[in-house]
Amino acid sequence: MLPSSLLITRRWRDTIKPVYVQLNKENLGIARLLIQTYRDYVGKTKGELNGAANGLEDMGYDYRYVRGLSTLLDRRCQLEPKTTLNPVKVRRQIFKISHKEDFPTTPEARRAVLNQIAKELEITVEELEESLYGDLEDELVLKDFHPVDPEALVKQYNLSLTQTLLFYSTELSFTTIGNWQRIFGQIKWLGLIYTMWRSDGGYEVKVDGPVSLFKLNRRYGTSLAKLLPTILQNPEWRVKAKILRHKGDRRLLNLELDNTKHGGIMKALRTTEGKETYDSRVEQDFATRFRALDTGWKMIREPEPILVGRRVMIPDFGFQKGGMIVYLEVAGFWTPQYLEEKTKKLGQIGNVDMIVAANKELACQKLDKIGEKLNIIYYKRRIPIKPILLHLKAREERLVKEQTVRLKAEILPIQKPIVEARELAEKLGVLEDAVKETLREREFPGYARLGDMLIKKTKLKEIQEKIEKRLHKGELNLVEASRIIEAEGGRRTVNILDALGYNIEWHGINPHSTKIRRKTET
Amino acid sequence: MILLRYDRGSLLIHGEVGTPYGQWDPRAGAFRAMAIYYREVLAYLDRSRMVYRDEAANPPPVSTLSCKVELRPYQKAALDAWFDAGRRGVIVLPTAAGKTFIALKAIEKLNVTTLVVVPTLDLLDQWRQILSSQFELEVGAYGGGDDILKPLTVSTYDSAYIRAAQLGNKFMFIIFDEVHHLPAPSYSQIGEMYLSPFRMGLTATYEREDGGHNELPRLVGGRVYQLGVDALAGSHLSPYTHEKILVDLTRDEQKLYRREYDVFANYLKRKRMVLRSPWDFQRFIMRTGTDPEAREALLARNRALKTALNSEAKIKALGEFLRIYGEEKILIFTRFNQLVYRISRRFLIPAVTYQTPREERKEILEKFKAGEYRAIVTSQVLDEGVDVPDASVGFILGGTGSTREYIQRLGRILRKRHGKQAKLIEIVARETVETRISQRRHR
Repeated sequence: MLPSSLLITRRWRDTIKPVYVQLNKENLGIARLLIQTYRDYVGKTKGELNGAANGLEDMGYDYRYVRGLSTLLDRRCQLEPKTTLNPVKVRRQIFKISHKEDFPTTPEARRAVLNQIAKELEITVEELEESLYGDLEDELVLKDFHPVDPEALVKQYNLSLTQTLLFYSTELSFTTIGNWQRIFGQIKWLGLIYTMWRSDGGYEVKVDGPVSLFKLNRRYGTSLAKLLPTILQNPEWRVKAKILRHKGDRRLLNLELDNTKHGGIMKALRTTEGKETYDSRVEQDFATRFRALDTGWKMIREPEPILVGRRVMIPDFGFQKGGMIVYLEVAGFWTPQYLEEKTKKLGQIGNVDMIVAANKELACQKLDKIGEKLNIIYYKRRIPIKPILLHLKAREERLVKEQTVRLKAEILPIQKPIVEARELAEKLGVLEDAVKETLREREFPGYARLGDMLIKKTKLKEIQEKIEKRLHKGELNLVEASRIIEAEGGRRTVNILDALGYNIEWHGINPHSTKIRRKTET
Repeated sequence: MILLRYDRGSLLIHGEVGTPYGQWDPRAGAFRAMAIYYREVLAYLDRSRMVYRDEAANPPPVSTLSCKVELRPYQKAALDAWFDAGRRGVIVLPTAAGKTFIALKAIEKLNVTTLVVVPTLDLLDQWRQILSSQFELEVGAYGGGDDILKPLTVSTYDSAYIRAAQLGNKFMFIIFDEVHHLPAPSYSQIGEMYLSPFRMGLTATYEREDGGHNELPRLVGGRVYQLGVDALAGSHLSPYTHEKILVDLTRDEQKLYRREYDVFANYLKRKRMVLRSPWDFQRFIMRTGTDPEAREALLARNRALKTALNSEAKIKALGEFLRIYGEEKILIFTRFNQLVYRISRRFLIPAVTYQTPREERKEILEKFKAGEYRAIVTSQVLDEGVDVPDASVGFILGGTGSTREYIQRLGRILRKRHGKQAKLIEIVARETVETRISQRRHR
């Protein structure tokens, strides 16, 4: 973030944008020069460094850009007083003497005072002069400078520029594809309020503060600016803000940014402040163990938020399969008050399938109250996987049953000559097992069922005719038979051959040396 | 049942009942009102005989408060006027007329948790000291690194603004020292986000040039009592004289000044710009953002002004005066820190600027008070209400054209002391833009 005097913006109708610095040769050049200057001035005073940096302001660049870079570089400096004497003490001694008699208004009188004190301190008058105000910023010595690469610096500059403009924002809205927990954690921590709604497939979140209700309020601008780096950590994001640039301005300006246009030119240098404070080892450990198993479930860390009334909840994990999602919330580290709030929230969910893993040692008895609907797993050090798998399995079986009942009653989109259970399940967004079950139990007029596949009887006939024709000409092996069947749009040659009453005679393992015969022939 | 809660600077009214100033907030599922209307909302609920539970105010417990302050007649009149106005309102008295004592008496009479909001760290220390010695208890503080909540607490405007969401329901009484700061866009939210039903504003200068004082009746209450400098000078304050000394820039300085100033003047002439009002100047400043020539002109003007303000000639003149007034207590004001340190180095006089460590500043002021130091050189931090008694000579070596600043500085040396004649001496460079700034000061 920069002083507002260094903010450069461009307005167009009712939009406003920071004037971003493009990552071209010239702009990177001045950044490199400035970084080099800082490096060169290690060992010199801050005053001298400032002088040199100011000198670079007159090279045809916007001075605000150059000064903005300096501001960022200043934070990478380690300053230290030149003198080992304590300037406060030195001054105390000097003023004590200088106030004893008349003020030293002549150079001689001044010299006399300094001589006397220098002698007492056993230093030279020059050293005394140096330490007199050795603690002023300009007198401090640049002890160390942590260099940075020019591109990273310019990207950080662009981010700081945006944040500085956000100081003037009255509200901010955003969408991202991940790290919801971090963002919402930060929103809460910063004392902001969110409103959330669904918008084209994802969620849009508007953030402002309690007293924003009454009038346009820039009070939360700084907090909103702090939120930005966390949002930008996502590969995809979109941010909109309302900006009230000047006090007297009654017109709100729009700031709109997204990763496709602005993702490449700005970036936080360090990871943001307010890092996750909770200990996530428990979750990490669980995730690793779960991934090692082949469960058929896709595990998502921090799935999309769930809207519960006006509030939002982001479970730690989501398990996805065939259009269903089961959540896992790890409640190990919550305070009792937070837990109470959470159980209330969970209780309201109802149709959401949620497993809660509660740390036994932290005595989360409150969770018992909602035990009816939501599965609770107690754990001590690690979250056990078995009960979760059992839950997922039971959930899957329940769903298969439900879906089977539904599928049996529904008209299914079966038109193609060949329909496979897996395809159909994907198409309908249901579990494959439910489709298989349905296929087994339901009759489909005009179709024959071959294992998990339906095939039109007319299609079977066509294939049979082709094979017969071929058999008349001579012997037929499996490879050729496959070709014929696939040319007809068929699959699973073996199943089809079997259904048509052919046997495959194997001579070794080479499919080329097989012979297809009618079953009656053997 | 209606439930009143405090939510980060506002009131939440649960229970589906609209009140005056309440607005439905779908985010919270309740009516929300600005905290400033706490008293009005309660009054409305009482009047309507509605049953409610008030969980909004959450002040720490307070013991019996008593102090030994005796008020002068005009101070008592001011306090009475404030009580008559419903325990809200602004009292306008010149610097050094003892506004603090009025506040102390009000605290004693109300005996509730109180927050005193002040503009500077010096004032923070000063109020803490007087509150703790008068009421004999530990006083809380926010600002300058402190973070202590007590029934009596002092805070800077900045901290009171930043902490409004947490502190807004802790104090039943809020006192704004130098209340003319309050109408700034951000600070005015202190008025809005604290629910304190009792409010007092103190200042020597009620009017703001931007008309902001029109907000004060809403935020604190209207002006309930006023006395000007003239009414008190001579009787309760020291009489004072004012001289302006014109000095010539040295020849080198003159050359430098002319050269730089001409760059600026020529630019204006070329662009046919006339700078008559602060607004004209503002427009010129805006241009410097896009027009490199305008920026160069501005920089040249600033260099010229710096030459005039930091002139060696002025320092020489100051040296002469220091010889004459060596026995008096002296305050020296400059516009730029650079000059502060030059004077401090030259005459070995303690300097106070924003860069001075807080402890050292305290020490310097105390030693000045005790007479151990006879002079202080400073830029602007002492401007308001810092208690520096007994100073009898003030030098102004540069400042802004603001009238308020002038009055405040005058006030610095107007502490009443028997038989004292206070002096204010302005040292101005002749025939420079500074002469005009000085004139503006006396408008």
